Amino acid sequence: MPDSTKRHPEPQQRHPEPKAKDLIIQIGNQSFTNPIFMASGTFGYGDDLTDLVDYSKLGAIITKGISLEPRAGNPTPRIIETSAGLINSIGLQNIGLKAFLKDKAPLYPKLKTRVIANIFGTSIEEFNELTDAMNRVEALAGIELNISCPNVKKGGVEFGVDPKATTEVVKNARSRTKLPIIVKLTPNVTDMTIIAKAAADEGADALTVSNTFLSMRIDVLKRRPSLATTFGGISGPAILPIILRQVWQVSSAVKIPVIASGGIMTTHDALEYLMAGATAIQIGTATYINPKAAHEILAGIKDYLTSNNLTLQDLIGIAKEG
Amino acid sequence: MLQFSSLILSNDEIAPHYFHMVLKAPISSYLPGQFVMIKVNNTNIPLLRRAMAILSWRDEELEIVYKAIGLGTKELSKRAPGEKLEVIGPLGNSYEIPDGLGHAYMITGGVGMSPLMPLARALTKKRIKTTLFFGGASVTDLVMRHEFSDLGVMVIPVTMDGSLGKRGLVTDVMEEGFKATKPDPQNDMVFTCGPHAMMRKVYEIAGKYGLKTQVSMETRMACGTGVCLGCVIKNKNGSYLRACTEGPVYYGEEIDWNARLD
Ligand SMILES: Cc1cc2nc3c(=O)[nH]c(=O)nc-3n(C[C@H](O)[C@H](O)[C@H](O)COP(=O)(O)OP(=O)(O)OC[C@H]3O[C@@H](n4cnc5c(N)ncnc54)[C@H](O)[C@@H]3O)c2cc1C
Ligand SMILES: Cc1cc2nc3c(=O)[nH]c(=O)nc-3n(C[C@H](O)[C@H](O)[C@H](O)COP(=O)(O)O)c2cc1C
Ligand code: FES
Repeated sequence: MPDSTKRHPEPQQRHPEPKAKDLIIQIGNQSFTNPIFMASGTFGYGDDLTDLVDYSKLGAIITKGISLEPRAGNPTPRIIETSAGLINSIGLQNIGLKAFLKDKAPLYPKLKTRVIANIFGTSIEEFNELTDAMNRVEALAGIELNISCPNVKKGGVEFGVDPKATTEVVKNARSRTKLPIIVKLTPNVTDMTIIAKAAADEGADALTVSNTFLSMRIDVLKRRPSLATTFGGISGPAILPIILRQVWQVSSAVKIPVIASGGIMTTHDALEYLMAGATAIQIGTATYINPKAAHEILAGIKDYLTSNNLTLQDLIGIAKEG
Repeated sequence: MLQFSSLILSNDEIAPHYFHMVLKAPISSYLPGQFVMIKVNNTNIPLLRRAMAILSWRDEELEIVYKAIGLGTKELSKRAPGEKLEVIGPLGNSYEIPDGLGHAYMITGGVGMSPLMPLARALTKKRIKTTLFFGGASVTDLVMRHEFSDLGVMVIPVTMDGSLGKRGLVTDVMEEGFKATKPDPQNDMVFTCGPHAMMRKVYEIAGKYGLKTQVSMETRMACGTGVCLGCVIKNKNGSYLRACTEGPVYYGEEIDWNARLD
């Protein structure tokens, strides 16, 4: 009797393991092994969570916002929890450019991931000086221009709400560096696409959508605002549906990649953003709650692509088709 | 620092609103004053983990004590043995036991006793004379006081309602005690954990007698791992240090006590 099993055709490999290259993304002249970045202000300078995080699984780390001079930050209390969200008014406490170059930048060539410097200035001159300095940092994979921090009285958000100021900041940065320039937008505007287009027109390589929403809470017992600064920026799952809408709109308005940042806790959240048109995603508040969130989301995206026989490129903006 | 999923072995109400929880946890060495961050359920409400001082962490068992007062701790009180919780720890710095320490004075109120338990264990093991001024609204707030006595700690209970020990404020009783016994500023030291106002008073009284005070600060924490800068304590020099990383234990004189914390 013939062996019938042998005659059976080889089962078709319908779901090939996505090749590693499927997850590679390109921003400007740099490529990243996967689309999952650690959001600025939620991963320090990259050297706090070495015990818990496998850096080789991160597409990139984005540093805490760096300014020319060290900043003490805002008075306390600086954080208050809200339903599925976190409001913060850290005020860009950071060690300043000098200490960054001396103590942190030298660690980066040895890391198993790439580092993007998030920089913040109160004038074009400060942004320029920071950009020039970052140009000289070995192994840096890009610069994220923070024109959108809601927690500083001077500068920051003022650039991000004004298309002309945005144009100036990006134009200057572009003329000074070949590194990828990512512009981090603020959601605290009526129409984000206007600022997005201004940044894209000046040669930005990608846009981060977005920073946090201005918000507040009141301590009813003490009858005063819960934060010392009254207002702070809200992050976390509470803001996801709003940022998702903005990612959809911005990615329809510009041709450059959009990096989503807002409330991503799970693979499902990440998939929504990719389907809305994001090329990459940032994990922020989720890392506070689960330092391994980025790993779990990377594995989840791989699984999803495999079981649906899709590439990452197929997925980006897929919800807009048809 | 470890991140693990932990089986609840017990979660008992040991006094009204006070819970003692035992978790199965991988072996870890920790220091008195360190804490863990616990996710009280697997939903986004509350979103953040809660900081809990380590009462004990031995033989793969991690113990905490908490008071069910708010969203997170009330949620924690509903967890049953057999359920699992996400834990990160041990975190933060610790109380320091200086060489040649003479007499250790511990002052606490309510659930602030928790990080003082491993400290008391370390002190009594070194045969350092240890006194605990233990304050609370009522006798039921002085949880685990017998465990302190069993270690050989001299426990001085103080209650607002007089239901146990002296009636009044624990800081007043501490001051009376210092007036009577005259601690030695060279060799004795004060260790405290509890409400902010109490710790400030403790620091001031200790200062009057020339004693240094180690305080464990309670602040709002988002991450517990050093990456959010939400938990900072304002220092005398105007800089902000992370309570989860450079703290939670500070020397009283480092702190700007006028800065708002909550
Ligand atoms: C290093 C460190 C160690 C800690 N160790 C312990 C511990 O061992 N055991 C423990 O029970 N807690 C401990 N805490 C505090 C704990 O992390 C929680 O903040 C606290 O238990 C309240 O959490 P919650 O979610 O129940 O209250 P939330 O929902 O955050 O607050 C609800 C309400 O309770 C009020 N509230 C918050 N804290 C207190 C308080 N202490 N007293 C009275 N009212 C309050 C708030 O103002 C609010 O109105 C520690 C904190 C830190 C920073
Ligand atoms: C405590 C805290 C600090 C932050 N600091 C910065 C910062 O320094 N620079 C910046 O561009 N964004 C900063 N952000 C914004 C985050 O990078 C991110 O864009 C935002 O939190 C939304 O994403 P999430 O909901 O995933 O956290 C901070 C956010 C938080 C919660
Ligand atoms: S709690 Fe986040 S830095 Fe301390």
